[in-house]
Amino acid sequence: MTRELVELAQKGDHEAFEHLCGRMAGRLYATAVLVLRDGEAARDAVQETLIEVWRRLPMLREPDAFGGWVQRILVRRCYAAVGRRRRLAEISVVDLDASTASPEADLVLVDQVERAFRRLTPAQRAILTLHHRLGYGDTDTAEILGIPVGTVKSRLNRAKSALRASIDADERSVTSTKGQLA
Amino acid sequence: MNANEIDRHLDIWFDVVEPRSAPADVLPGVFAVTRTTHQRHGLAGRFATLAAERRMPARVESSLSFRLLVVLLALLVTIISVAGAAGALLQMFPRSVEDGAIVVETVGPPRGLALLLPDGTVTAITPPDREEICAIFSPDGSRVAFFSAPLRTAADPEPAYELAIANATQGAARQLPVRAYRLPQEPSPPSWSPDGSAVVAVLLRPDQSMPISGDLMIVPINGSEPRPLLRSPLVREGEDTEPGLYRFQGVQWSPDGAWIAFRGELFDDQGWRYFVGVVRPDGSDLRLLDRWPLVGSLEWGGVVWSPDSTQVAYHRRPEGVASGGMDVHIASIDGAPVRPLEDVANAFVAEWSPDGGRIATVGLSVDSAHVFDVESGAAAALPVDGATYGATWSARGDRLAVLGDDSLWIVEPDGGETSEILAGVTSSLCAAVGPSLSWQEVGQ
Repeated sequence: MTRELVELAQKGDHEAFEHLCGRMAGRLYATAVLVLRDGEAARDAVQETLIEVWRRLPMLREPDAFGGWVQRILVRRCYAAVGRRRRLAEISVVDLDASTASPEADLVLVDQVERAFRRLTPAQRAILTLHHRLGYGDTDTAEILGIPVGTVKSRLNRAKSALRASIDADERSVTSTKGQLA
Repeated sequence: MNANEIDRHLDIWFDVVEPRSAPADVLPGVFAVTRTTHQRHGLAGRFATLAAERRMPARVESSLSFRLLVVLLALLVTIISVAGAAGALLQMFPRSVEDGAIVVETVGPPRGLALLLPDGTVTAITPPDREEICAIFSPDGSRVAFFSAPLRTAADPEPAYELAIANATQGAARQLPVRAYRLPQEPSPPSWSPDGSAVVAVLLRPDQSMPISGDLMIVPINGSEPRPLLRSPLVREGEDTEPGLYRFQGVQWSPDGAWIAFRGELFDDQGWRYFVGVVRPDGSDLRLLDRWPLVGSLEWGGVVWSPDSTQVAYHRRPEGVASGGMDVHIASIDGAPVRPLEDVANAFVAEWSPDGGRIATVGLSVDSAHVFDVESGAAAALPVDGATYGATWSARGDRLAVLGDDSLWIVEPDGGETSEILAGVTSSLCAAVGPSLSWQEVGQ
């Protein structure tokens, strides 16, 4: 079904493209929010991505590759948005919606991971989001990010190491502060 | 904290922060750009008919000769898509306007090439068993170079493209001897040498397992063997990246024939960066004129030569900025410092004026069409609506043809009139790989 829609959209069928957009929007927005940690920037990145997808769609030779191809464009848009945000020095914060937290969620842990995640590079956030969260395999992740599979593995390891180091440092800082207060 | 704990922490955090749905307003901006096309001048109906006739054998109406030295010769990549009443979509390379000779590209599947002749006749030149894209006229307008592939089948779902040329007066395609190459994921159209004896193109090697980075190849049209100009390191699954130049795009032969310009991505001990470079047609004297961090998007497109073949213009992110809108920059092949022009976000270079004094730009943003003064760097907006995908100067440099979302405009950038000469069209993606049109005055 997706293939048919992509082929129709390649012919300029707006309804088919709109249908595809509707299907993809949630996943794209989730990816953008996780990579950017900024709701407004994520919204812009998704919109820019869909515009770019529409314009370049006729050049996509294999409609079955559509999903990964769109994610690849989105990730690049997210990288661009990070730089744009630095340029404009405007950073909005994504609110953690307590109502969506799982019952077992440890809010302290969530806060720690949030801080550590923000300290990662956009490329590290992207690979954790695509591979760890969205479940793309090594090959698909490599295609989306435009890097060899070997680099996916090494980048993923480095991202997790950086995350762990950041959380550990955070914990040491909290422990040290508590000790000083005591 | 061990690896399993990190994974568990990440899972919990993702559960909390991942949005469950997209905001309701995340989509509308898209459809403001992808306007519904409409029919004026009756063109769309004819194209719809053509699309239905794509199964017919190719032929050209020989009695209708091309007027080769007439008016707007459209080259390279900008494609206009035309949607007919039945939803058929075609892309077309405007070849001339006043005399009406146009080459069109159907957007299939399968995609193919056809000619729109001065009397409005549309004739397919692509055989029914092939798909053909990215047609580029030779400098004298007598031939068209393009990529051609057999139709996909279950046995061969990803057939290789071949470079091919067609005689513009007869339409018969002749395959160039490049049979084993596939195109990169984001194909870049070929570029003719000024004398019309060869084209340069970006093609994948057969042993390139990931279709993301091709080689620069020079293909003589006399049938002799293609010659690699610059090669990317192979990209294979499971292997680390080697230092080198990757993802060549926007290749363009210089007007004097002495250089070939291109852009792409560079990997070295400093990591990934974008670059713009030039090289001699014999593969010597490679010069990387500019490099900048590879973190942005929209980093594809063209490189355009100054008329004297001493400078190139291109778009890139501003210096010192990790990402953001594309600005026009100029680099000299003698290595002089790169010079940015006025900051006009998302302006994509289209063409340098014949006298070398100005550069026309286009772009997806509604205010991207500009004319830049090369000396002062100042930009003046062009009075056209919506996104634009290609612009070309008249030989005298007093007018510009601009391809927009819905129209082909003739603009007098010094404050004269703007007229819409073709409507009912919508532009497509090929600006992605370097928009360019060219214009020849009658009798020149």
